[in-house]
Amino acid sequence: MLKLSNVSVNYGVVRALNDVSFEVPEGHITALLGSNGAGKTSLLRAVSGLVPYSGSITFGGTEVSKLGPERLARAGVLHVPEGRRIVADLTVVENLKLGLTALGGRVSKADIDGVFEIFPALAGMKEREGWMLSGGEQQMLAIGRALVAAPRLLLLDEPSLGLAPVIIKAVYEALATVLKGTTVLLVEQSTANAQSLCNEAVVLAQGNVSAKGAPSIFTRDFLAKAYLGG
Amino acid sequence: MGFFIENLINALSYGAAITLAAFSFMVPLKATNIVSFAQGDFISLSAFIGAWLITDKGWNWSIAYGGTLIIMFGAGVVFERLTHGSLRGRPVDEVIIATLGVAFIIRGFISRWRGANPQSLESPLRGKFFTFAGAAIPYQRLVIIGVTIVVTLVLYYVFQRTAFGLQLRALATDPEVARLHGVRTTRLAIIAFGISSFLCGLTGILVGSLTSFDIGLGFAIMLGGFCAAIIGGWGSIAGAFVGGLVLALIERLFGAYYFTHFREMLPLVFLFLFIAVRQRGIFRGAESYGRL
Amino acid sequence: MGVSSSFERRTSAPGAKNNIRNIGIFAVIAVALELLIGDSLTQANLVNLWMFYACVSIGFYYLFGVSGQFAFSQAAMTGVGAYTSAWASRDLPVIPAIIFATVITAVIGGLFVLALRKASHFYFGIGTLALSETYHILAIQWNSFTGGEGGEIYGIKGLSLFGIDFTTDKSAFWLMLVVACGVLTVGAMLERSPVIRESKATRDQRTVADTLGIPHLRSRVTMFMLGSAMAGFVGAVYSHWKMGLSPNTFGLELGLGVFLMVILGGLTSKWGAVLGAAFFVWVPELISFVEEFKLMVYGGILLIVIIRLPEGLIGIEHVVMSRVHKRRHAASGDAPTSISERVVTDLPDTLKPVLNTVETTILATEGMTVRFGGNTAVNNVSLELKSGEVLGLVGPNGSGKSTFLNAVTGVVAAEGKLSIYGKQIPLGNANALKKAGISRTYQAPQTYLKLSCLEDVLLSTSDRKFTGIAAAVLRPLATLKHERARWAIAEDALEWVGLRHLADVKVAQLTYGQRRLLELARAIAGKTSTLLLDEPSAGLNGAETEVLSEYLMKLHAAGVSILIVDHKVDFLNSICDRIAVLNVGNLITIGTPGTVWDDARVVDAYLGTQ
Repeated sequence: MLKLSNVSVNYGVVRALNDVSFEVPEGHITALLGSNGAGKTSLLRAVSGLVPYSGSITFGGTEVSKLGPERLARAGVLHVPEGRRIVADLTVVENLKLGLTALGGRVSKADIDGVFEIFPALAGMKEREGWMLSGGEQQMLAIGRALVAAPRLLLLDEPSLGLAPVIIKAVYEALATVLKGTTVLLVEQSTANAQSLCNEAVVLAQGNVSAKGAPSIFTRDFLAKAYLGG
Repeated sequence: MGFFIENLINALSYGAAITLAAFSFMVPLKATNIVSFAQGDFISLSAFIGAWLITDKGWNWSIAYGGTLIIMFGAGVVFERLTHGSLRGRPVDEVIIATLGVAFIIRGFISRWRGANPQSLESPLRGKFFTFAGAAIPYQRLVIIGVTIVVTLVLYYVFQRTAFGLQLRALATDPEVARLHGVRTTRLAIIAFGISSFLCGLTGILVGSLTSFDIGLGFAIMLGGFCAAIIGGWGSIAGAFVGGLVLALIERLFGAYYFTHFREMLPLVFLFLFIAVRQRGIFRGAESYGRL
Repeated sequence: MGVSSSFERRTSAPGAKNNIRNIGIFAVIAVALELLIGDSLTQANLVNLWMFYACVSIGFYYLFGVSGQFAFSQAAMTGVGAYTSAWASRDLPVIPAIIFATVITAVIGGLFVLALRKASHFYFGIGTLALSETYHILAIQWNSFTGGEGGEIYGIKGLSLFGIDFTTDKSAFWLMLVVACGVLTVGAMLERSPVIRESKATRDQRTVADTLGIPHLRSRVTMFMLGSAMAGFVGAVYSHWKMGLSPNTFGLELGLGVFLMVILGGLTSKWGAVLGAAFFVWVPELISFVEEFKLMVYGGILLIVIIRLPEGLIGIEHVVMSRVHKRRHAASGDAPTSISERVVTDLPDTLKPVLNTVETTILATEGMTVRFGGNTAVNNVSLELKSGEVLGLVGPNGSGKSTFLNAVTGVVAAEGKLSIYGKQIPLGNANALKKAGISRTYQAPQTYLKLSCLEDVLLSTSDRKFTGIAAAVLRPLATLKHERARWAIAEDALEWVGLRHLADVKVAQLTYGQRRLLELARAIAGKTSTLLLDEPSAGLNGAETEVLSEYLMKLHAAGVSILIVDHKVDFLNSICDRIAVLNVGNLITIGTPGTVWDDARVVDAYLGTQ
């Protein structure tokens, strides 16, 4: 469903992503791992049309750069950016309704009430404005907002960022149920959670792909070297 | 007593006009974070267009008013393309200067087209009034107040209850996230600017047809609109309404009794003191989210 | 051992660019015009008007172009100066009246900015609109004084000096020429002082300017006073030249006209204002139909210029110059722009910091906590930076390391205690850090794109004597002397990082790596003894990172203490004495490079395993 071929992303003189190629088959959950600055976020931003890239990124056969973020979203590519980014002055319900903008004609597995079933913690704060929520609640809201739009490809950028381990566990448990059958590209620095959820993983280091494969091959030592061995 | 009531109604209708002007720049503000300084000239322009349609084209007032509003909407679309559309990603100051350029152009066009002399815009309620407690109350002023109340309610509803309004608010806060959820930013911006000029048209028609008007009709109303938005809370609908009321009462009611010759300065001095002391309006607006 | 300066010291101020020559050219052009066309009364009037408008616009250039204050008050200030002088000259001779009017205008401007100092950029603009309207209302309503709407006052005293009467258009030319050259000279004096660059720094990036110790309020107030005073001064002169005034003299057309003049001419130089004024005065003359459509044409030009040529006519010169510069570099195969081919030398003696030899702990935090809404980014972190050490601060994404740095330097609100050299200081006090010789760099180098490299480095100077407008104009020699000393240090810093050959090049033309080094040079020029670095290796490749390490090691050898937030492990291992690890806002452990990465807790933190 999503195919990257020889993709490079530059910010001015800085090369964030260098000649990256891999595929995410339909219905699979692929984890994109790597430490800070490895290029993971740049990759997601290229896929969702926010930054220009060289090479080819196709979603369902169409080159992503031809569509732009608004049309991609309406076509079902939902990007949940790093840092939660819920709209602070909108309430929880309003944030979720915003997600409906991208729904188009698709049928969603999770409408707004459905989101409250997936993330019960949000149910008690429907009319609360976004800035009042805790980090974990905001993350759940951001994910829920993407889910109401029946994503065909979900781009999740570091959902566990800045969250306490207990909250991360809750979020991932919910994700495990809800994401079955959805095509997902999941960026994480925290490997264990990602590994439990994904079908395969791609490890980025300094903008390059350093390894690809089933999560079982990524032992702790291997990852420690990839992240910390420089 | 009659004096008080007359000036009270005068103040209320003036406040209504200011509120409409405030709304007119708040709508595109929400969509694009741009403040337009051309609103005053759009207001003036609409009065001139209305007068032209009635006197030169011989249209009936209701059709002329409608025609004016449609033309103004179109002007708003063109305005968006010239300013926001041409200046994506540029610093805010530059876009504001572009709106100043458009203001100049409109003003120049009006003075070339119709001259700077006072004009008359026909109104079905011109000169009609009723008396109450010794005061002569013009129907038109009540209409202005009424229209503004209706517009306020409609805008409030649109912003708070419709998908369109939701998208606009999201766009104002976090344009990137809005785009990522499929919000069509360009289309919204165009519609927002169209609505803005439509509201200017409404203001121009209502106020211009009260008595006579000239090319300076819109400037004072626009300035009042800015002040109202600042006092009420930048970007807040309820705030613009309250702000307009406060300022109009200061200028037209209080100013009817004291400092009469300098009453136009009163709201300005009030604004000055307000900004010096507070950085936030009465209601929570964009400035309290640190987005100003 | 330091390197003694083996290069020639500069003699001209950065950005001063041949002021004397240019003012001379301007005077010659003005005189030539006067001689050629000044026989016609209308033309003579126009030449004078050109100089008049040029002065008003130059004032506007300073308060809007340089200081960034969006203001609509310039025409009103001109009027205030005019009427005040007219009124004062009833009792005083003309020249003291003009001086009095100028002072009054300056005072009004200053009080205005001070009163609205907390207002946001935009509210301030509307405030100036209100100020301008207030002037117009007063001018119209105060019938007895101004003659009211459509009224005029006549019989203002004319100016005569040394027996010459300056009230005819021909004689007034010499007066206006002197006035214009005077205004331009004041501008030239400002360019030989820190005023202009510091004002631009405050305009472009206020928080960074604050940490560099630049007094932003003083800058804003004095620039606004200067711009308003220039308007008031010229307005006062005008009233004694024309000997008559009406409330419409300085009306909306001028108020919007100054925008046109500076935007069309170009906001990057005072000469833009002069060019724009020429256009404003003469184009309606040259193209007669333009006179009829004047406003529309002005608006159209403003729109077109801001969309297509935002730097104005002067900007054309910049575009040409930068193309020339690029071609010159390409042709001569100039000094490599990648910083990876530097030869790094020891820190020269002139740049060595003064070290505090008493305290062993430079910086200590206790219980530092930062919360954003419901999210705790930094949780109760207590950390010490010891004198002379290089301390690394690491952690996975979201661990709070940059936020911690921001809390220490006062960029974000935080709770907890901070002590510098053993004394507790309140959080958020940028000045205290600067005085203690602590500077920081940022993840993306916060260098000023619109300044030249030398001007950027000069911003961090620790010598704050003779840095204001008053000093520049009243004590020019002392100001210049201190400036020369600052230039010397800044040039040494640029030489050390290998960027001296780019001293007069705009920062925007530098590569990323060069800007990184420029930021370092700026910190060093400020006599920094403690450096707080935020991801300095971000965006640098392997070779460039090695060069950066060498520079940091030279600083270390000179006694500078360094706290470095980063995540490139090799880089950190090669330079750090100790490394502290954060995770989800908590400090997990501190250790040496040899031991910390083997710590299971650290590996867990990075891999997210518990």
